[in-house]
Amino acid sequence: MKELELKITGNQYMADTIVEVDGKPVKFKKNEYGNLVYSYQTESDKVNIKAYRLLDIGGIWWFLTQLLFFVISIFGIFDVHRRQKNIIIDYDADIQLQEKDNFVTIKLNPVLQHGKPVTLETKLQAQVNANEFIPDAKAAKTRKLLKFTKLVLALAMIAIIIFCFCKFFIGM
Amino acid sequence: MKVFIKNKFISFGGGSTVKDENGNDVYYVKGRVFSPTRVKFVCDMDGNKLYKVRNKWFNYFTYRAYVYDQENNKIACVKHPPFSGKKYIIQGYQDEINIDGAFFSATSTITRNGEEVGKIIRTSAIINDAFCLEADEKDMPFMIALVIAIDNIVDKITRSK
Repeated sequence: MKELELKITGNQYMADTIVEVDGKPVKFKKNEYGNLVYSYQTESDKVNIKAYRLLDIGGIWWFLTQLLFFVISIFGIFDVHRRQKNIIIDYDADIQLQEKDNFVTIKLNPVLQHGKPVTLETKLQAQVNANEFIPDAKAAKTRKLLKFTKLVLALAMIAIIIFCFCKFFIGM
Repeated sequence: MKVFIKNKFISFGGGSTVKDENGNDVYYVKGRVFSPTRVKFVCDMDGNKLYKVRNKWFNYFTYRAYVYDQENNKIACVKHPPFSGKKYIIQGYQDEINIDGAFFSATSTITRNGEEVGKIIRTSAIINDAFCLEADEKDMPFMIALVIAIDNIVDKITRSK
């Protein structure tokens, strides 16, 4: 039985990047440095590692909760959500295992449209099948629509506040 | 390479000078005048912002500061665990870095992936803080950002007492 010691570094947000080993998503443990570590045992001489990132974009309920947060945070002034770029990662590699000392470190790079998402550090033989940032056009479109809706909502709320103020306090 | 980081005596934003052993300016640190999280930028002499450092908004038992790159991507979190003396752990970075020193010593050692890669020596200063940083030249801007992050954390701890 061969054992693969996998470590993911450079990961700023725990739930951001999903890693699959031989097609199965992996549940990592966190070490002292916030890096994710995992031991995988297999009879095979080769393992396949895939990494991808999910953006914080959803369906209609996600859209409505975003509008709710916008209102609660007073037009986004006190909004603590981080700003995501509309870019996902696509990483696929096959690693040849040895009898022992199978250490692989996947270093996640910051998001840059023309850079590489992953730097692989290992003494094992590896064939990288895909390693790129991909702009997500659908996410970009959804965010644009959300931005426009927020603007319309803000203007409508300001108009209502001004109307109420004029009606109840000035008596117009 | 060895550099000397010295906080300015009079500076509205909390800036610092970074000079090499010959007294030449190699980098500089500039802050913002009104900044609740003490945002500071590590810049080269052409004025390019290389790294941004800021404190975490609310800290309870563990104090943290964040380091961002030129594209404003968060690349590291400098964590000071409670009751850890002079230990600082860099989380979320591509390499495993920690900074540690003996309690009564002015020197802290920087280790990356278990190997020593630098030293921070706090030089005596009555009014403003000063540090001597020894590290590899190519890592120097990031190491300066770590020193600024640590200085920010220490200031926050001191002011909260």
